[in-house]
Amino acid sequence: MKKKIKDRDVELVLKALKNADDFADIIKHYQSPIRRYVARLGCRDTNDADDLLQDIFLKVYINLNEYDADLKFSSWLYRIAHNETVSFFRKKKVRPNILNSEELQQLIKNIAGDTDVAESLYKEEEVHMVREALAKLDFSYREVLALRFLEEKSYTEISDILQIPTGTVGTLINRGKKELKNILESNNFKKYG
Amino acid sequence: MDKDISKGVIREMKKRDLTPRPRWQFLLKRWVFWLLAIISTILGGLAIAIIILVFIDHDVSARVYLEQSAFEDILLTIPYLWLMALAVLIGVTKYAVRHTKFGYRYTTARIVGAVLVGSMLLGIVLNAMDIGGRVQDFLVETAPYYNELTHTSKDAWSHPEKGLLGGTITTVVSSEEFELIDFRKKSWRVDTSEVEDMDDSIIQQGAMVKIVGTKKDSSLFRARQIFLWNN
Repeated sequence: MKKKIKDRDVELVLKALKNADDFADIIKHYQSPIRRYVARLGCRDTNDADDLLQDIFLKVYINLNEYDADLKFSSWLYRIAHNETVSFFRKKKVRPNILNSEELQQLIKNIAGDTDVAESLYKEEEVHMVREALAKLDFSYREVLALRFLEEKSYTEISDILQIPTGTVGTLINRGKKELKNILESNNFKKYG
Repeated sequence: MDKDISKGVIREMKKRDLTPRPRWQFLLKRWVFWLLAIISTILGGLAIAIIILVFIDHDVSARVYLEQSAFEDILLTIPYLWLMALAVLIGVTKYAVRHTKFGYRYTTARIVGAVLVGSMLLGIVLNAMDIGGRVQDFLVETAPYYNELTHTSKDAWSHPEKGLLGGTITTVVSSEEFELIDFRKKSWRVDTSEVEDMDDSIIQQGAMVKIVGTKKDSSLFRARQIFLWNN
């Protein structure tokens, strides 16, 4: 399955290199996950997300010859999306917006096993608390938690996207979870610990 | 249902007349970083070769005559310049490796460890081939201020006012006198009449020697003991 996706991606890249119009196929395949990813990184305004997405795909097109089949195409694409999103926040000097309620539920559910956090958030007040805790979390922890528990990427994929060693990915995930737990505990989040 | 941006992106690409950057540019960038990593590792090896040389070549006998403590001697001998150069070169290699295709997958400790091991092995080989020594001599002779920044055994034997003189014999004038050019290219007449247990076989034109004695005037040195340089 993975090989099929890889072959398909390589084929899409080769086609787009031959004919610019075929680049639309790459956009169509990846625009939804990339839109979701940039939103999870904090770009939640639809107009901003549209502009950002356009910039990401333009950059992907310009650098298409850089793509190397040794890497998953999605990892390479997420890497560009990540870098563009970070520079977008820097340029606009805005703080990333935090996940919506549904994503918060999913995040908490996915990291629950390791951190003793309640698997579901019943009250709006609890959702608000977790959102606040996430807002306090360092961006480097938040992005790695989003990639692991929302995008469900492997350590190697996260390493390729963020261009950091896999060991560092593990460290950031563990520290991020601990930090999140500490913030929630200090806010007296009852379902925690 | 998310908005489809593909048409807008293709339109923008055409409007801006965008084309993919050629592949050779990316390959060149990768090779430049590999080349930088290789060059800085080789230079790191050279730095280690000179560091090894400084310690191997270190002449503890000079310390006794200069009345230095072992601690002072060690502090003077440490090749700070080359240690700093090695640290910078390791930093450059780490930067270069991190910018290669999968360089980001390795931790700093792993990269630095690998570079250090590589440089050390190379340094041992370069030292065995005396390349470190040749580079050191070349720098001593040609690089401005290099002498002030490094301390070699030749420096230790360049203190005629403290009774230590080293250099190469240029002319054997008589059984009690020869001429010598020191490591700072200054000529001396050396009086050997008061040398204890004189070994005449040492006094040969072209021989490198180290002499303990007394400076009598600006160009005359009275020897008390004479040793071959590598003794």
